[in-house]
Amino acid sequence: MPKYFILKMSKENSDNVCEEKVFDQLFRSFSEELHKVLYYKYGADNDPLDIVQEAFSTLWDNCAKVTLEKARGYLYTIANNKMLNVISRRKTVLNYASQYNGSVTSNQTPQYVLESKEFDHKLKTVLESLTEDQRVTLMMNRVEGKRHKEIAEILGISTKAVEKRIYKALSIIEEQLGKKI
Amino acid sequence: MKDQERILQYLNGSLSAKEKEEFMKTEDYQFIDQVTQSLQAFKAPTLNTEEALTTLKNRQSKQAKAVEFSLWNNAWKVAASIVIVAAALWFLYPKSSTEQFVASHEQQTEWILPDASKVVLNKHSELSYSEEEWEKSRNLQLTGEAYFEVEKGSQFTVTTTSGIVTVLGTRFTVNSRENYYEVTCYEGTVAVTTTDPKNKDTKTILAKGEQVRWVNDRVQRNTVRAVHPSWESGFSDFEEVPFYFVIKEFERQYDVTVEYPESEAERLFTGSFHNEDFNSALKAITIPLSLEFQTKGNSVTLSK
Repeated sequence: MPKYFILKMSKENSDNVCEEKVFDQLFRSFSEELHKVLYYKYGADNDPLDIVQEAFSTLWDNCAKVTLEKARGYLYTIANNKMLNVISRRKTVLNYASQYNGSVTSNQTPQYVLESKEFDHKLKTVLESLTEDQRVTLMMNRVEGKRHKEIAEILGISTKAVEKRIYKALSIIEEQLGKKI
Repeated sequence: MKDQERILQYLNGSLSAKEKEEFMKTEDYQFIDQVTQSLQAFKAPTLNTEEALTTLKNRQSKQAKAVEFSLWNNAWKVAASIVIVAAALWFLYPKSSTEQFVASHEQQTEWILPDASKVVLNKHSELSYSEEEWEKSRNLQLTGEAYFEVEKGSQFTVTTTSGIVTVLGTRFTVNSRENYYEVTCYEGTVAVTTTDPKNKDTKTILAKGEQVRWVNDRVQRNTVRAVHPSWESGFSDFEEVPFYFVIKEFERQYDVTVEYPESEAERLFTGSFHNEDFNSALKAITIPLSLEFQTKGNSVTLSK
């Protein structure tokens, strides 16, 4: 037994998740990304930040069992499970960003302003009616500016699946809104 | 939306400047542009990472104390064990006043030596070296099988009961089992000296891709095309090796005991078996010799 211990000590010096430094680094690298994914997937009303905290807390409790390479995937699995275990999960609601004042710039006609406000409002409804997977892929691409491959990596799906979802989401938006513009 | 391929390329930012210019003239673009602008309204709030991290730590502080406490308890146990082992070693090797680190595990294990040389130990193998003397001479004692990637430097020596291998900087494996001693060189040059009385003090020089093997005191030289040992990637590989040795390796890999007809022991086996898939491995060692197998718990019986 002590032999094995020595072996482990010499092997894991910088990639041990149980080390506070390593764990903090993980938190700094992935908490924001995880928060975004949860926010777009489940909406603002399901406390994505709380789930992020809980996922990292679980990672810390199980740090000895999770390798550094597996940590990211582990966090996503835990967070998703926790979200799905919340019995009273709320309908997905996306809030307008507080600093946002509509897709309006100064030199636009009142008619355009009115139309685009209406567009935004309808878009909110459509967005909330998309499936979680469609919504998170669309938002990660269009709002967070992530490439298909990055999204695939984050969600653990293929690039093809990412493309399918984004395209489907846009088609639905077009179907519901497009023709009225 | 019309041109799906174009749209996806645009969304991924992979259109060339010229293609993009073309695309911007289309209706598809106008639609996507408007949606994209409107979607910005729903951007997720920015997370204050440092604040969130502090909150997390405060939340865990109670738990953390409990964890620290149990670690502290274990630290004493571990420290005590190390003292006991060190003491035992000191008594076992009264002539050398050095401490030894021993690695032994039921699994393949990778180990980085103080000079950054890499060692991969196969199952049921042990490696030790004197920490104190390491600075002066890189000297290792091996029981079992290991693969080495040696960093350039002073002479690097691997001693086993069957022989000694000396190198300067190279990659090689040493497999030292009962009545079996095999050294394979994957890079550079190694010198092998065997302890076999008949061949004593003969130095065998191996170049890249060469292998030497003593089986029951018979010497065999082979060439190897692989750049890494097969067992490191999960296979046990054999070329004209007596069947009993193949069985021994099988027993080590799967922790089973195998009974087989005496008459098969010396037959030569060429082939490989998987180290993680018991059933396919069993087939791999029986079909070539037209043997039947029966398994019962931890024992396997082979018959003609």
